[in-house]
Amino acid sequence: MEHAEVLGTLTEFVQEKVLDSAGVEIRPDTPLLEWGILNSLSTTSLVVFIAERFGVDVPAERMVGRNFRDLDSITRLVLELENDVRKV
Amino acid sequence: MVADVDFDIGIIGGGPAGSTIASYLAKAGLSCVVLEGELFPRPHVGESLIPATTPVLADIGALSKVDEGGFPRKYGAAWTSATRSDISTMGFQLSHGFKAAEVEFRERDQQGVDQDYTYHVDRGQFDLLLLQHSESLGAKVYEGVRVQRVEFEEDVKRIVFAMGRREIGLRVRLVVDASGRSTLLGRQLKLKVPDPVFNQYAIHTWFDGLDRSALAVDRKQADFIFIHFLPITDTWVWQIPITDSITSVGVVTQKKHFTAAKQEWGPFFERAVESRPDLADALRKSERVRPFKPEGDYSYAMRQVCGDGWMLVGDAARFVDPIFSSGVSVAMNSARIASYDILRAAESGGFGKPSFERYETKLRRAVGNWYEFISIYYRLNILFTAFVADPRYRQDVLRMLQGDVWDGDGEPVALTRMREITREVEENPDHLWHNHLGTLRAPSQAPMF
Repeated sequence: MEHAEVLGTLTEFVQEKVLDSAGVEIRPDTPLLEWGILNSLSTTSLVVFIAERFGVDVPAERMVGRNFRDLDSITRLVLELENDVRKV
Repeated sequence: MVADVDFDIGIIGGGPAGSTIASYLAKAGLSCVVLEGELFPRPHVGESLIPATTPVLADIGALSKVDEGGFPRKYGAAWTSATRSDISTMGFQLSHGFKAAEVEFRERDQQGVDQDYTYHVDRGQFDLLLLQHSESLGAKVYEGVRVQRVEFEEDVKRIVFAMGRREIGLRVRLVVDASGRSTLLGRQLKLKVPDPVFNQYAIHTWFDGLDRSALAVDRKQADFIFIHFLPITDTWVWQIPITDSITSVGVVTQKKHFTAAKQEWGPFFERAVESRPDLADALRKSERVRPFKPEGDYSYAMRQVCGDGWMLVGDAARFVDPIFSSGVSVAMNSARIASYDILRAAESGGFGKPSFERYETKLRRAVGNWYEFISIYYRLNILFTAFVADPRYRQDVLRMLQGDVWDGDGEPVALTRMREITREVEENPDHLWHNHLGTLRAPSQAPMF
């Protein structure tokens, strides 16, 4: 899957399900953790969404700030995980 | 050489552990006496059951009596926390997120359980029902008889108590100590080891007219057991329906907070719940109908749980933090498993320590798993709600919550996974959950616990 496609899907989820508002603009580099848009607990709902939509589990060791800093990092994480699945 | 005795089995204590083992043994034809210090019904803490009690109730033939007893049905458990999910600095409003979690027992099939609920019980009524049940099966029950000690002779044990000014000794072949937290034999034989980690204390009472849905996300769940996390470290509140209108509420906290309260239980209780204003508000609108009651000296283990001619069951054998309503289940299941060994031993003619080996192994493994589960739970703190809500772990966690820990070998999957993740979170300061960990930590090497 392409970067842009994953990014779009994640952006939509965060806007609609986390912020409850499709009208807010979130950019790929909006600092989600720093601004408290994602907190440690609501990140779990995002992880569940990623599993359902992209078919990849985010293992506990990757639930770190570096990977959830912004939508761009989360997109990279999803693509990496998809890659791992394909290799297996 | 059959010794001359008054009864085969002498059971100290008529709570759920004592009445359950009396039921199993009397049903199988052994002569049993139950000596209970109080006059039933009497109040008792530990009012919420888990589904693992159901197969035992069915086994001894008491399930229909309990089901028709009018006890509120318990379909699940719910957790609420005060974690603010709207900490955004940019005016974003977050949805309610994982502030709350809940499970329903029907989500997972459990062997020996044909109903999707268990019960919340007024222990006065529930314990009386079970004790009378054991009597109907042939056990001899004496209430108001407070056992003082047990004298160990070669083949015979003497259970000693006072009657007026006379001291009486009942001669039995096997003593089962089901004396609960008063741990009669544990104290007499100096077996008791206090838990160095879980030194929690509780203060509890009953309220009439509490709006049980006040903190529920879904009003349909108002009759679940609720665990409310308080923003005070390692402190939580239970909310347990007792009747349509009466609710049991208890604050469980660390010993240091409890000691600081200087026995002013009322103000302490109120200060604690005030940290959750919505809860405090609901409580103010209801009426307290029982005095505040403290429970201290919380968790302990025993160096030995059986010996020649004696064994410990239920709380008399072990007490772990009550966060998952395990008390009555441990009482009834330990009694069930102990009864298998006793019946086998009765046939072979001796009640020596080796005949209780299976019981000891199973009890230690089951409560060991419970202990580990509870340790990780306290360490995960509010993160537990995220764990319950995650479909990858939910079934395994639910198995623990159902109390399904008695049969089967090895460690439940939920434990292994929870431990791995806890370690991951502990070791990585950048982990998203790192700052939410609780402070209670079980020592990594403590085989006794």
